Amino acid sequence: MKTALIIEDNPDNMVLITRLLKKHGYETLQATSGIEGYEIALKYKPDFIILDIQLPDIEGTEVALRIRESEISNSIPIIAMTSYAMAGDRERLLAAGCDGYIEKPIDPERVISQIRHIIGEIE
Amino acid sequence: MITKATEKINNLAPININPLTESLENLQKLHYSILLAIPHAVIGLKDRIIIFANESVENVFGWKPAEIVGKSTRILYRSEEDYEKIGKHFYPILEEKKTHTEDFPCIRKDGKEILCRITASVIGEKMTDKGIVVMYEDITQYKKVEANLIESERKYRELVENANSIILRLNSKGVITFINEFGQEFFGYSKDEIIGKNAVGTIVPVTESTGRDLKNLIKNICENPKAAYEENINENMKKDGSRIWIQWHNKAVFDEKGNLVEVLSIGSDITERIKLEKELNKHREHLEELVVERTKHIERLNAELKEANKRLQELDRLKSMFIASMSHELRTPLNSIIGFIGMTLQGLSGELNEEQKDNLERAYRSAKHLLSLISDIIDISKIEAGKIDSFIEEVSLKDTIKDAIKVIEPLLKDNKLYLKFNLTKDIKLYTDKKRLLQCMINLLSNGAKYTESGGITIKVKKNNENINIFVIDTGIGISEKDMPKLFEAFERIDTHLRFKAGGTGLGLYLTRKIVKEILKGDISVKSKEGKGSTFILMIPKDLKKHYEPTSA
Repeated sequence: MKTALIIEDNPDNMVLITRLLKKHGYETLQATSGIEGYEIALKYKPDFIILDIQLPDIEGTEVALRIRESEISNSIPIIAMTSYAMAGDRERLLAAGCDGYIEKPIDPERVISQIRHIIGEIE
Repeated sequence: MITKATEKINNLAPININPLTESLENLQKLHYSILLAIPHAVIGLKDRIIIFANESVENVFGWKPAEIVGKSTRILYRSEEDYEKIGKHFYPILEEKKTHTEDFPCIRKDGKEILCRITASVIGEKMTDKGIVVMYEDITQYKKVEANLIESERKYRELVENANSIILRLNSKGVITFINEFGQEFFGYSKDEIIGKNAVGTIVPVTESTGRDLKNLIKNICENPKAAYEENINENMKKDGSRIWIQWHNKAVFDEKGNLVEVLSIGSDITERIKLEKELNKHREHLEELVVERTKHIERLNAELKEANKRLQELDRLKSMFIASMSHELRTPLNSIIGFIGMTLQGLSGELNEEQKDNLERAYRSAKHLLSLISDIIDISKIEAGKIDSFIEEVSLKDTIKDAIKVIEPLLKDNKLYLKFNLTKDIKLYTDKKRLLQCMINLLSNGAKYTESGGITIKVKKNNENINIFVIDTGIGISEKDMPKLFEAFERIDTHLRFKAGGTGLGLYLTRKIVKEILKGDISVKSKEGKGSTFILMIPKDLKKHYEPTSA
């Protein structure tokens, strides 16, 4: 059973993603800020990370960069979640080390398959 | 006036030949020659009967000498009256003075009247039997010329005297030698008072009221009459001391050696004109001041307007930013609504009965509609606030269109519509793929929504610079009335399909904004009500070219 770390400051979104993942058989870890997320990632080494880009303390891209810098966590797939990408966002996210991104609002019917696609569970 | 011919006759009296020593024959020859040489008619009379006539009688009167010798001089006059009159007049004078000259009308043989200068002299020491010699000089022509001359002189004199201009003649020293009546009256001097006086000090003041020194004015005019003083304006002075402005036209008169003899000047009073000009200038200056003032005012208003415009633009930008961020905030709770309803609808939280499912499906559709509205508004606001940059990459046109088709496939299936798209050779573009895709989805879904039977055909044409994508449907078309509002926000065409079609009312408005402002292309439409529509999307093949100059 794979474990996902969800870094998300909005409690409703947190519950939504958590429930969706759980219903599809994933374990979840939760962090509501960038720093907390980074620390949990190092401590528990989740199988993949779902990372909200707009966080209250540090930017999601910054979190991704830090996770990539550490040997412990640098191979964990990171899925960025972002509201409607602005120009240049895609490049910044991929450059920061994200493996893929899902645009918010998430489509509850498609989001699990999008995640599986990015972490390589399905083609 | 005594003519030379008359003199000759007069000189005959104490003739300088000695009749005692000369032969009679010689004397006769001499007399004959004298009479022949005289160009005027000469006759000898006794008791007013012609006793001889010279050859010139024919020239003057038309009579041959032989025709008139022996006849009364009555035939030389116009009437009996004239004949009597001249006789009564001449003979008493001749009695006393021996010779007399007077002009008197005569008549020729042909009846033509002539004026003659008649000179009569007594023959011998004393007049006996009214014996006289008379010479007739035809002065008709001469009198006519003289009359013409007098008339012409009179006309010019009147012209000069009565002209409504001052006419003045000055000699080379500036002394007034002539001034016409108008000039005398104008300046207030009588002829005697002014003729012979120097112009400076009389009609020309020593100093003008403007301060200009006029002492040497006349001297200057005399020295340089042509170029500098053909026309000059100066202040003049009347006898009573009042000042007036006169415009003078000067003409220098030179003698044969080229020395200046006099200056002829014609002057017009322009005091009133100068006064008016001054007033006009004052008004003009005032007007100029007014214009300057108004211009400044307008400039100030302009600046204010510019400032206001800037503020407005800034406000507009802030408004768009505000809408964009507000919409962002609206979307976050909507995420939850859609997410949780969606999850529940999938049955992930347990089985739903039919009614629960239907309720949630309706809520889910509304939430999705709200989401697309908000997304469109965010896009529009971002474009308006200049917050959307384009992301230019190499794009396969074929793939992009296929992606768009994939999105609307469910809609095509529902309406049982065909879709024809056959691009044999792919076209590579440099453009913003996401935005192009957005526009294509929009156009295709519009086509699908407003077509009840038939389908959609996509055609592509390219030229050196641009790609034209034609989206041709067999739908309900657009009426002429609806055409102008087609690309306006929230203007939805009123058809029976409106409710079924759904949509935000922002689709074409946003599409055009994206095409024009991000893809730097254009969108147009051809349609007839009931005959389908063709939307033409024109975009540049290489969008980079459109951004490079501004970012450089």
